[in-house]
Amino acid sequence: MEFVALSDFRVIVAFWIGVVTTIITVIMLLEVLIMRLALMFREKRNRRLKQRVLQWLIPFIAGEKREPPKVARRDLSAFLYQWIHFQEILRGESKQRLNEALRSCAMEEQIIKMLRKGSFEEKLIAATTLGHLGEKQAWEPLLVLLKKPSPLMSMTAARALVLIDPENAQAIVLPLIIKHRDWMPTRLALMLKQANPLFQQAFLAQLDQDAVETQPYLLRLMRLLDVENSNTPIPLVKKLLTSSDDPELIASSLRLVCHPSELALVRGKFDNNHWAVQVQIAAILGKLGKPQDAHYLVSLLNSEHWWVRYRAAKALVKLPFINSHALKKLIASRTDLFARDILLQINAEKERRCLN
Amino acid sequence: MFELNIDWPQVVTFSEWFFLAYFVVISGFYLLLNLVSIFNLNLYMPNKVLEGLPQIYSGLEPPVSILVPAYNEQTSIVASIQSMLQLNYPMFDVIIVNDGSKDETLAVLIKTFGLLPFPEAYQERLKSKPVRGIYRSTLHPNLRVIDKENGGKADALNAAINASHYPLFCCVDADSLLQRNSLQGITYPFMEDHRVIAVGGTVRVANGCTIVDGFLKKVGLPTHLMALFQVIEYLRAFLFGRLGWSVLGGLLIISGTFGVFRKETVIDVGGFRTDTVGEDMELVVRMHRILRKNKKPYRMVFLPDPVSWTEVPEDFKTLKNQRMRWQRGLCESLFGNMGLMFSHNGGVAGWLAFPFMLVFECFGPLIEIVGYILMFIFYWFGFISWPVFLIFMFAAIGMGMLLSLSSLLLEEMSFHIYNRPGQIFGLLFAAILENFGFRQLNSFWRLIGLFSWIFGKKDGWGEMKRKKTHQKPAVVSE
Repeated sequence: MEFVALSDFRVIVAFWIGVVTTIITVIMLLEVLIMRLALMFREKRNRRLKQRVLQWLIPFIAGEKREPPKVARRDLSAFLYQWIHFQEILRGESKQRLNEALRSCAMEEQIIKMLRKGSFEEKLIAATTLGHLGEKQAWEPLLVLLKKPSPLMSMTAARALVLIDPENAQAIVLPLIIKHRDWMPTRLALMLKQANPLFQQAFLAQLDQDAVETQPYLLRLMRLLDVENSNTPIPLVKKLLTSSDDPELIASSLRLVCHPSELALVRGKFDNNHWAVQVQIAAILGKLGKPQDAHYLVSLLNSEHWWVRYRAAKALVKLPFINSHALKKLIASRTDLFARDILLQINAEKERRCLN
Repeated sequence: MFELNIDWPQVVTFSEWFFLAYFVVISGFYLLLNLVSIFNLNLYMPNKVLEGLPQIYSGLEPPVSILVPAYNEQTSIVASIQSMLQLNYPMFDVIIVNDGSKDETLAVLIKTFGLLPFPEAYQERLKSKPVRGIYRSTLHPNLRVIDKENGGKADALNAAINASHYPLFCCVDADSLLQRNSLQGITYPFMEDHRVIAVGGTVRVANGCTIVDGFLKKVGLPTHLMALFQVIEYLRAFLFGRLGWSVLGGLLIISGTFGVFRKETVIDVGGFRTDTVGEDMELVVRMHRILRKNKKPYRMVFLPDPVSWTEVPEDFKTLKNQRMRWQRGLCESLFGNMGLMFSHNGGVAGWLAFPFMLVFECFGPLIEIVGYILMFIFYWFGFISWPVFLIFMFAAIGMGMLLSLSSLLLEEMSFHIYNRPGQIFGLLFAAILENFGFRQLNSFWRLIGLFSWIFGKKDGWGEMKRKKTHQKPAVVSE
């Protein structure tokens, strides 16, 4: 009655599937256990190392110089990682002391070797360390890493170069910022934020020189630069506001408007219907607006975009002649439900702030 | 007289070939996903080396609204919201939607967070049940509560989208806990690539963990076997299922427990559908269908490291209901968007992921259970011998164990969150044992879910019995 014999092809296939999967399962099981053992040993070593590093580094930062700990080659990246951790959180004199501490270990050559020949992770750690350290000998190997296809690697190298020698790095790094669309904007923004003002000015100049129309994503970074707080009009902003039709580009430029002399340029954009542009205009008028701008702001209250209505309402209540009475009158005169609701909300926010 | 003339040898031969072929194809697919995930994690993990360092905000992080739909969550809502309010992220707000709860959810929120009614300009861009009131917290400026009539989770999410003002929104379940850096991690893809419209994070099992004041203090494994099996299931589903599909460009599921979406895209496709129990998957499949049809460039991404923790059921009834609901949601999502399958511009989503989901996930339980039953019948009637029966079971269970262990290997290669030696043994034990009964039971529940979708009814909020044994109250210093 049996229709399937043990020698049947499909039974043999099923049998071998079972055997192969069982063998792979056992290998995986062993691999998991071996990886776990290795991890446990690594973590134990790292914990001990961390303790030694902290015992040495914390007094060093406080000004008490101590004998540096002995660091084995295999612990080097874990050691440097601890050091970078402090570099990223400390500022000013403490950073100099951290550099002194690392230099007292005389391991620059080892770190440069790591930068040249280490694994991907080791190279990242070495590049970050040498950047903070301002190690000029690392310049050449960093230039090699700058050409690597990994955006993270090339950006880390670029950041290190900017930290080591911002003036010389300008000519090399700035064109790459424009070229590398794969460089993550957040990391790029941080690099620009941490760079010195000269480098930031050079970045703006480079943007001005290049075809800015093709680089709208970079313009988002402009608002992070210190120039934002300088209260002096930026020539690039004028150029963009007068020549560009791209709403994103106009909105980015409007973000940098900081001086009353630029109001005419802003008013020139009143006919632009893009919501991002209208939000920025309303925000500017909230800071620099004059009574004659009230009419435009009132018209924005009917926008279908919540942020446009919100910014316009906020700007309106900031205008000196819009007191509580005028605001109530304005609310009562609105036939549009959106406009009335947003004014009521702004009014409530204002009242709550007063209460607080 | 009609005589039923069955050629039994042919039936046995055909069914064995059919089930063997099905088994080989599904296993091959899973192994492929596994290999893709291993390859991807090997590329991904080295990039994470500098992310453990203190992060400075760049100022470019997009603001996010965290949407928390809540229905009868009076016991767990406060801890969850407290954890959300303490997230490390430069700009976010938390919008809780009380979806007509019958318990004291709203009262608890009002009392704990000092809520006051606020005349907010609420614009109904997506249809939802009427909103009864909007509250703002006097203690946390970035916390708002929408009180509305009951309409289900999808309806609550639509109301929350209407109330949100930021370009991205993050869906989080009211009983879930986010890790402090989760939001920062999950928004990276939006900054890297403007085509990204949705990002899913990993969901892990909170049972057995120690949670204090809404924060995960110690990672632990559940002592209950059923929850332990689910730890393996979640690892398998997220670490190689979703990661693999994400790399291939065919991610069809982003969990409603933890996913970030671009608001305008979601509004453009009509928001969450309220007539399905799987609103999260349905939205993702619909976005694929509509955006592909309109030839709009987009990307949906899964990230393995931003983590949300959730409590899983520890009793049969709740687990059964959950799995039935998931299966119904899957069926509704696929059959409501059949236009994606083999569509002209369908890509990996339409030509590979969708058919795979339909055959192996939607109808898979049916084929699996029928396969098991037939094997028993063939053996019972003597059509196959005991050794042949055992060989087929050996292959099926062997493959199951291989897949479970490979997910554990992925976890060990990458995040090794369960870091005590006893925990790894517990997981290995569960990865092997779950193949002897639990997986088959799960398939059976999913089969019931499939039938209930074909014939049955739809329910609203998937209520779950929660134990909260892992949650401890905040330690208040005097």
